[in-house]
Amino acid sequence: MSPLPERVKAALFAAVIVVSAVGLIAGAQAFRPQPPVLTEGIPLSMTIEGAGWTISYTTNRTTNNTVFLFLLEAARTFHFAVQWSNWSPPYSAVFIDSINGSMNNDGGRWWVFWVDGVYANTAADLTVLAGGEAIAWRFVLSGGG
Amino acid sequence: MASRTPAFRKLTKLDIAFLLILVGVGGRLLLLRVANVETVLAASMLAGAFLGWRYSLLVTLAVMGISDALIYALGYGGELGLMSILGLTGFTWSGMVFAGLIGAATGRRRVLFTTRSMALLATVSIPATLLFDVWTAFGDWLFIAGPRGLSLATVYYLQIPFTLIHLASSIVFVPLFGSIFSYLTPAPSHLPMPEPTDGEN
Repeated sequence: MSPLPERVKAALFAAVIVVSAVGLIAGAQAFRPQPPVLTEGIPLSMTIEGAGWTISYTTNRTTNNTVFLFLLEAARTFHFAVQWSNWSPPYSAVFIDSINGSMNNDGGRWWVFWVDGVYANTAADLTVLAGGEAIAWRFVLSGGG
Repeated sequence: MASRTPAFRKLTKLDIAFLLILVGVGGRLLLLRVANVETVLAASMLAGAFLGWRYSLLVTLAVMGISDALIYALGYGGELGLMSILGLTGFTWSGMVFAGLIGAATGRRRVLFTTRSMALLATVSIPATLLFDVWTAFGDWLFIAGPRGLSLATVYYLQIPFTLIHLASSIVFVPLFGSIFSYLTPAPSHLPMPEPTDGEN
């Protein structure tokens, strides 16, 4: 049997690479936290500690079950601004830039958050809440998480 | 018979190294907002494979130095603090040096402008990427996540989707740029064939 021509081998190799890359990206998506769609509200509370100000928000009935969505709900309720930037696919996520006028890197401070006292190591939109959690946003000095 | 080798294939090692630095820095900055899709590992590995381990060090350190300076100047990572950034820098730079050395170990004399060579590079990029991610996730735990109460096991679990994307990035970029650079790189000089000696019966 004669060996395959180089161009055919190259095309087959390219196809294997494309299929493998798509499979790996699909596999990564399987690890992405998926918040369930809620039919009934859950209780949540949030405290936001900025530079010289604090906002507290508690509700017994919210269907916004990620830290990011619940932050937006608090912003709509109390009429303060939230700015964020998006990380692109294949593993998109939001990065909070400013809350209520306090912008990241103002005075060397940055926005970070905790859920039930545990430092969050995932993006706010990928942190799913089951109900009953207390979220704390703090505007802390670099490395002060 | 006239040589069919185009003139631009006569690039020097320094030319190739400069182009690889451009690929590494440019790709890293262009893909900054795409988590774990990057061209630095490909540039380091290809420098090792095509130019040898000394050039892999040169390319890796140049790419990481230039791109890190620009990225931190843009304000990225500022929330981490100086100590965390310095600690992470040590792990990311050394991780890329490992990738370059793995590329060098692949052997520059074996990497040619053939599908077989590109398949070899793509295959070798898998352990290089895994080693880099395992190493830098440990650095993340040591300097960022660990002091904030996360276990090493949790950090490695959270790392899995990012490593899968990093693997996809490597198996695309390494053969893609590998085929371009194998075409541009001067063909390796062959070792002289040993003279046959008279056999004895």
